[in-house]
Amino acid sequence: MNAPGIRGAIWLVGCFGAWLAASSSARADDFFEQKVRPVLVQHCYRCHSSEAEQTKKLKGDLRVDSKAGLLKGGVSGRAIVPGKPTQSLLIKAIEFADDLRMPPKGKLIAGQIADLTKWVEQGAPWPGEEQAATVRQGGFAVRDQDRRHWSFQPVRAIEPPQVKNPAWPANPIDRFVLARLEKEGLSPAPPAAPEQWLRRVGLDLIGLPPTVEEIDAFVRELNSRDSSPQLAMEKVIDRLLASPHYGERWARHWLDLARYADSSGFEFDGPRPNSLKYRDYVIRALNDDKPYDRFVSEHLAGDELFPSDSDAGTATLFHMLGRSLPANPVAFPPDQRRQDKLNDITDTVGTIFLGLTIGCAQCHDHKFEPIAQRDYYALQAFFAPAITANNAGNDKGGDIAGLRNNPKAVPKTHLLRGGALHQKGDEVEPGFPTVLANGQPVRIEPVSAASTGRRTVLARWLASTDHPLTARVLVNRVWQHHFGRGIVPTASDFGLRGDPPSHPELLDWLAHDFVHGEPAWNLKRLHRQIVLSQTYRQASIATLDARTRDPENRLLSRFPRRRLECEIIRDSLLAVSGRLNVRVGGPPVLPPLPAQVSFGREGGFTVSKDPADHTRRSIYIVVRRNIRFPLLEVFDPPDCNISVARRDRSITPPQALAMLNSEEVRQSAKALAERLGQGDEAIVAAFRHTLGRRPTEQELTLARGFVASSGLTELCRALLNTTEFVYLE
Amino acid sequence: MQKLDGQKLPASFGNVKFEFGVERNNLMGTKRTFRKHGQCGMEVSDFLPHLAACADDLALLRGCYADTPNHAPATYQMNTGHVRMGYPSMGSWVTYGLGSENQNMSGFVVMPVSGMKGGAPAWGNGFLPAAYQGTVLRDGPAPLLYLTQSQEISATQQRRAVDFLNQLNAEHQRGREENSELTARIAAYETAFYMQAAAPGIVDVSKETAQTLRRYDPNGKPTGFALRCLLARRMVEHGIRFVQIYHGSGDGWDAHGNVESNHRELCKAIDYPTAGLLQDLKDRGLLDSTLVIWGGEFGRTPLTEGRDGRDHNHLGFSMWLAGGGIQGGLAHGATDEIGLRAVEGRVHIHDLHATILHLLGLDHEKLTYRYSGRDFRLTDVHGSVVKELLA
Repeated sequence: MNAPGIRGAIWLVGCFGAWLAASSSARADDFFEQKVRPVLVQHCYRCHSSEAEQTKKLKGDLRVDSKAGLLKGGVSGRAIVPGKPTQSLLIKAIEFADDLRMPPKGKLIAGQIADLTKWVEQGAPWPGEEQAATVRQGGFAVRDQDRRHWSFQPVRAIEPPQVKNPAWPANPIDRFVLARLEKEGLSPAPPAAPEQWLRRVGLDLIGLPPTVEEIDAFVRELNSRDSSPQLAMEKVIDRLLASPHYGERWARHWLDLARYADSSGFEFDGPRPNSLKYRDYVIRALNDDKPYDRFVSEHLAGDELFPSDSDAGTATLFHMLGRSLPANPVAFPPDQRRQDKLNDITDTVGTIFLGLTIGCAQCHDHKFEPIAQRDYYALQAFFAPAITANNAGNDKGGDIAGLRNNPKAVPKTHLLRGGALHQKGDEVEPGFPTVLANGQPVRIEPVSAASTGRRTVLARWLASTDHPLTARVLVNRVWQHHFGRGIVPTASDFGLRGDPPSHPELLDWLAHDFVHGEPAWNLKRLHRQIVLSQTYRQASIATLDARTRDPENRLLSRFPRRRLECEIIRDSLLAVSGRLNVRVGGPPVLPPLPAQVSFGREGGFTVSKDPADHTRRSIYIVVRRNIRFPLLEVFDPPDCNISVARRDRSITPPQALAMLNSEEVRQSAKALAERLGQGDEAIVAAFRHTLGRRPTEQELTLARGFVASSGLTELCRALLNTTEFVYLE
Repeated sequence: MQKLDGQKLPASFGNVKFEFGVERNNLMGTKRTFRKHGQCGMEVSDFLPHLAACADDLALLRGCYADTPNHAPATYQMNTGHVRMGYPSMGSWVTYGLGSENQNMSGFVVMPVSGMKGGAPAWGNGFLPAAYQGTVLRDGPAPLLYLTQSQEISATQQRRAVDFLNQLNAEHQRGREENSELTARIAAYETAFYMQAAAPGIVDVSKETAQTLRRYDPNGKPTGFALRCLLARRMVEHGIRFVQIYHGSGDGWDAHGNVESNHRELCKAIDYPTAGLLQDLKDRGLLDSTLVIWGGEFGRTPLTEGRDGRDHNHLGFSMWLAGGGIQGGLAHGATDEIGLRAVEGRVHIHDLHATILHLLGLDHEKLTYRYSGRDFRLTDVHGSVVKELLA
């Protein structure tokens, strides 16, 4: 009875509100829920639903309250043919095209007809329905059709396609994208303005906007007779990729996946001094351009494979990054805590490297994917020797040496019925998921007297050049961060239930090139190809044509505009006001908090004493599981307790309040105003610092008036609040 | 229980293990008296006289149980259904399911206490969109973070700045009309501006009548928990869907020692305003449409800890519900004779969650969210509605 009292007063009555002003992830599901289902409910359900059936009012033996009902159809036949509106009776009926006219009371309005038509054209996706259709029936077995799933096939070496407009592509990526656009009769958007491109690559690659000096240098270079636009851009990209800030920016993406935190969670949520070593390792690995196969190997078995490399040992802290159940011997005995860690690493490895929802098979065979419960524990068995009751009980986040285990005393792994620790089933040997392994036996040999070599085998398998998932999953993640959405939108789910790739051939080309190109498994090379493509250079403005035929921009008919992540917003505030402390790495920091907020009573989480630490990059702000840093919190930080493949990008009033009223923005506005000078010159400089461009005539006129009434600091505050400042254009 | 006071746990109660080994200690009878109250004759402790007077409105669950006797995991389970942190809380699920009626406020408001064990994951959105996370309402005139601008900036100047900003954003949007996000962002600034004006109003109780104020505090000056109860009613009136109040900062109700004086003081602090809240809701005709839930993350042992304390007990404890859809004056379930384990009318947290969602018009098996390859629920794969409670 820690906290009784009123826990909830809840009002029942009422209707839907509009707090959620917008969520940027427009999905097919949303379209269905907003445009299709309401029409069906309002105009059709009275005669064509389960309720109508129950009250004996069903007409024509047709139900339209499920996709199955529509596919089955009624007395007149099948109601829809997904993908083919012209062959769909439903569409003909609502168009009043033939004798069958629905609804009988009068034709729907044109927009509703268009929406339903579009929905059928898209294949009539009905959220939740496909699930019922694909639940695996009749016992578990990996079927041939499972093995044929696209992501389990070997990565193909694909020749980039021919295009009608050969002048546009800058590299093979563009040929894939353009070929697809041409197929739809669309053309790509014109290139973004040079300053916009410069701002885009800065925010994207290093998470910082360009300085005024960098903009000037770039424009000079563009106009120089000794250079070319292509050379000028390449130079910028080389500079950004060589910057230590590149590692800081892209490490944060990885830390989202790796469930990174500086505390251990639950009641005491105490500090985890080891975490920062892992964070700095990731930053260093990216900056040093460590090949990805090596990076993967170090994560799984750095201690076994590279015993003399201390960095490789640091990578294995990854095993212990998850939350730690409380060390309470009654509530969570040591074997329970160990099992929890084992489950955590099994789920996480499945999610991050394989892009499969293996975690669903912890308690039973996977309901939708060809992953048996036995596969789950076979994967877990690779980690069984490394995770001991001893190191699982270490709240500090796992001792590297603790990972090693005597090969002569390997704990047995059992399938656990219902996932329950004490319901042991068959003993399970280490093994790869059946659907991927093709029945190859797993041969394990001890790597030394200190270690079993199990994780080495797993690492070698994952990092092999012919693994169907490792490279595909990774290049898709990189693509997602450059374009806001992956070629496979469900970046951590490449299974049967994941979304299919929008450009399957491009994905394979990228994955193949990533593994076999020179240098191989090289991330900076991959970034370079992507950001120097014409696809990436496009402006973010959609033509009417693009808007109608590619409304969600899945075909990349323009650059996808999107809100920046919380860290980048704060870092930009510091950078444009000249206050950013660019020191790389080291212990986490805690900048001052709003007066009403405290980071709690436990040690190690007090506001940093040195003011220089208050302006470090956001990746260094202490990540505590039980409380988040307020300014970051409003802009959708990842939940550090789970592996996050894609962040939300909400738009909410509290964000507006934070940007209008927070101390951080106030101080930035002040400091920025002091850098600006006088008169029009100051206004122009303010725009260039914050938005990376000069004001238009119209903006200049507006700004003059505003500065006259409110002053320069207020101009800066307003500019820091603009949509443009917090968006990647 | 009283008969066994001072004795060891009889073997007939089976094996049990507690954090501090209290299973080896003596049973401790209660010093409280429990009299029958209301027409229903519900037995209530004399520590809660005002609440006892509301007995006919309460549905008392005497057979609750949870999965763990450890604070944070139990708190997470009570809030999210899961012992581990990182799952969406009930308030998030409810606002995800019902939306919000107030465009200027989040649909889910939390008033935590300092040092609360478990912290923000108890009102986190987990894998649901961030808009569904609990908004923390703080004490004082600026109840929301960043609600007020710096003192250097006047209200007029703030308006002027937002107007100028709107012009810049509108200018930016020209040629980008297709993008509804940009429009939403402009709208968010307008809402924010009005929130600055409206939110303090929600927490401003100066317009409440003296009679109302006396409902929450005998002297008409509610503070702390009493004030929070009053604020909860005001928020419910303002269309906020889910309001959560915590009580007992730091170790609060965690009476490992001297349970008598601990519970006497804390009961005293919540008894009067809790009854006042129920009565106030009732008088305003709101109780029918408002569900009030009362309880902690677990109960305490019948066995003594130290000389006069009690340890955590998740095996059997009580909670109550009142209001919307609930049958008042009902005592459902029971523990064994000593209050060790729930034995009759057992209600697991999952069952409680299923029941709450049901009362809010949501089917706990259908309120799902697709994450990581499958559909998740507040009740995981468990839970059934406790039909006996329904009016």
